[in-house]
Amino acid sequence: MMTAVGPVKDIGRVIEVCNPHVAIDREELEPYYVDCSPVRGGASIEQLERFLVGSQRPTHQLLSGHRGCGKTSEIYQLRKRLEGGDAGRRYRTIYLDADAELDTNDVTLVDLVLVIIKRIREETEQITFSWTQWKHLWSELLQVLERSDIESKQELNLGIVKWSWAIKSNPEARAGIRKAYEPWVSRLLELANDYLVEVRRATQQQGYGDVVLIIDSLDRIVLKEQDRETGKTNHDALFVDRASQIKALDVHMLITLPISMCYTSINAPQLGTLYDNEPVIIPMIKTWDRKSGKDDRGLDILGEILGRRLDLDRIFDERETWLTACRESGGSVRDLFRIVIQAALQRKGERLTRQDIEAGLASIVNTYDRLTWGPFLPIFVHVSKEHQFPDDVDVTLKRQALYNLFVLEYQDQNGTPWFDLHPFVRRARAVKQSLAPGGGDGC
Amino acid sequence: MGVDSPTVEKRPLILGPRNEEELRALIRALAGAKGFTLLLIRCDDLRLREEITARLRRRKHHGMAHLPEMVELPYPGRHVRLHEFLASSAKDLPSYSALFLCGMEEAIRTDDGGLAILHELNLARELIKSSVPHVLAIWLPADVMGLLVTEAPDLWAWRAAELEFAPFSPHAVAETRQEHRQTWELPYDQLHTEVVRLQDLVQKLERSQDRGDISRLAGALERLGDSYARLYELTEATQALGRALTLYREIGDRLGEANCIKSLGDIALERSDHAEARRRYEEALPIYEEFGDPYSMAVCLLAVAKLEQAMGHLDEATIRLEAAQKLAEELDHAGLLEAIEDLRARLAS
Repeated sequence: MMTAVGPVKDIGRVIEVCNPHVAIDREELEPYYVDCSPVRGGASIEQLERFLVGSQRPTHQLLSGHRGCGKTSEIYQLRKRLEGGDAGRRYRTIYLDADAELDTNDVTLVDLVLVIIKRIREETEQITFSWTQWKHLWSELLQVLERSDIESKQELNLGIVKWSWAIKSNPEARAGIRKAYEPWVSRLLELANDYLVEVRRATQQQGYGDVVLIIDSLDRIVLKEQDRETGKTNHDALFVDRASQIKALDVHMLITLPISMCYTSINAPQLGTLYDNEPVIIPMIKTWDRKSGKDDRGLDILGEILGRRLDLDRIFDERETWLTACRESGGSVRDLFRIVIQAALQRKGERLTRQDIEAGLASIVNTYDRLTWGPFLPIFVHVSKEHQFPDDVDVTLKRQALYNLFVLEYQDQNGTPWFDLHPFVRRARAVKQSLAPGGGDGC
Repeated sequence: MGVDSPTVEKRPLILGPRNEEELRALIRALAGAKGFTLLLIRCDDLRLREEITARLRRRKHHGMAHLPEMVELPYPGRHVRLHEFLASSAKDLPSYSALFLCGMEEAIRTDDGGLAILHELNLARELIKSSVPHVLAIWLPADVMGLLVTEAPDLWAWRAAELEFAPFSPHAVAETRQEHRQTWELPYDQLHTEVVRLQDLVQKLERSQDRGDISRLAGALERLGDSYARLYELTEATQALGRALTLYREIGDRLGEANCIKSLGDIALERSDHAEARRRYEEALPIYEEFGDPYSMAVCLLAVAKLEQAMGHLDEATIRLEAAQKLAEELDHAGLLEAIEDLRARLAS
């Protein structure tokens, strides 16, 4: 397991310490954490925290952001603050990684509620309380199970942990569970709430203010269009159609949702009223200021992030070299690491030069060069000039552009969102031609 | 083996300089990675992939013991869950290994739900990460790699590096040789500075712990040898080229090997050792022919023509010159055509 090792001087270790899949979600990696909120602009994760702490009743809030923007790392920091009582009250956080517990290719409310119950049961194993409500809940779950024709009944009888296995990995059992429990979902929520009252009370007796359930990786639910005419997707079906039932769970909840939901769903404007707050979007770190056209101080933050892992003076030949890598990352930390790794693998000398960075970028852009960009090109031309999507944009294309990180979102200090092309996409041959003066809109 | 023998020996594949560079990058990635590390390798050519993996294994057993154990995993088919297959394959491996997953492209390209393979990989990335604490290198052709961007975006977002091996192109060699010739064609008064620079570079590369630098060392020695040759320091030139030749043979760079042999032939010609020059040129020429590099063939034929001229075989020299001219015309290479005309004029006089 990776541990933070301080800025390395050995260029051969760049791939080890900058591996893009590693999120800062453990104590051992904390030396790598840099607070980016001052340069992200707009609403921050602290806003979610303040709202939660200030509320007398359970809150249900949404958090979103691009893939790789640092959601998981920020959530880890939030958990630490809540657990540590930084906001004046200590909270018991229960973290549910949807990726690990659910089949994100296919998620329904029944699946979600059942794995929530399972996670809470796991987390409260060591707490002493009567378990009366749990016994009711478990007994009724088993009664429905007995009446159903679900496969793997015997295994499910063994305990709630087995349910999450069936939901994630056994499509037949999952289908059976849904069929049996969907008509029973209101009762399931009622029983879950009775159990939650017991859990919250026991947790408060342990000195915590309350329980906070954090559901991460729900933004990874694979996007599927359910109705071409209305543009309704499976994301709408869960986050919008089932919002009132999700909110019916009587516990503080923080849920990650796909960024495309915030902009392209027909229901996007309602999200703030369906839940307790407008979704908080973690934007990319700004690398340039769109008003002045100059470098943003986000570049320094990106440099600091890099500097926690690499000795910048030893690995790079000069400041401008790592600044170039930061600029070309578009503010995506993962992509910054990727550029530096790629350059380090292809380097010509002992330190990375701008030529190495360019060579690394050329390798990365190679795949983008081979994609079919046709329908996206007019949108890219518009976004590049106006930093907004066209008013009449095809919703499906916009969703894909955001979902696949072709277009990145940034926010001004006052929270106004604006968009720009990912620098990798901007370098793709067809896109570059379209953006060139006289290049047309690619139509 | 007689010439009529029906057994055809498999020719070694020429990687060419770009693939050599990419191989060096792959070696660096394998040597530097710790824990789960996703590498994506674009390669459309099965033989090339086999050659790369064979070379990696050879290098591990000859001086690069720090490379991980490498396990090739052919795609097991759609009846097996990929993440379970990877987990079971990784279970009994040494703590530092590299899994090369290959051969998925045909299954992915099928209309009958082939993309589901990518979706499964995408969704199983956490499971793969926890069960494969090794390097996972996925080999895919370029067209299928493009599908990862949209069909497996979460897995795509975890890639540490992308590498590409492409079938060798003779035209690419001509370009590289041109780069090399920039050293070769330096004005005479800059040659001493160039020699000092190259000597420093050679020393630095010799000290380097990065065994991936071996092809750079060979290249620097080759340029040093050529520079000495131009300064008429033929002993130093022969030593440098001889060392470069040994290194090129060690890493299997046949192009580098042929170039050194040809340069050693040029030195022999300068020393009027015609038999040695002929032996060298006759050794280099088939290698250039082997991978159809018209530029190097033309240069070598021109050198043979000079040798024949020096030996007084004017008819033979003219024949070689015509062969060189034909190739130079096909390439439309002005510099070569000029050199050929120059020799023709001397032959005529």
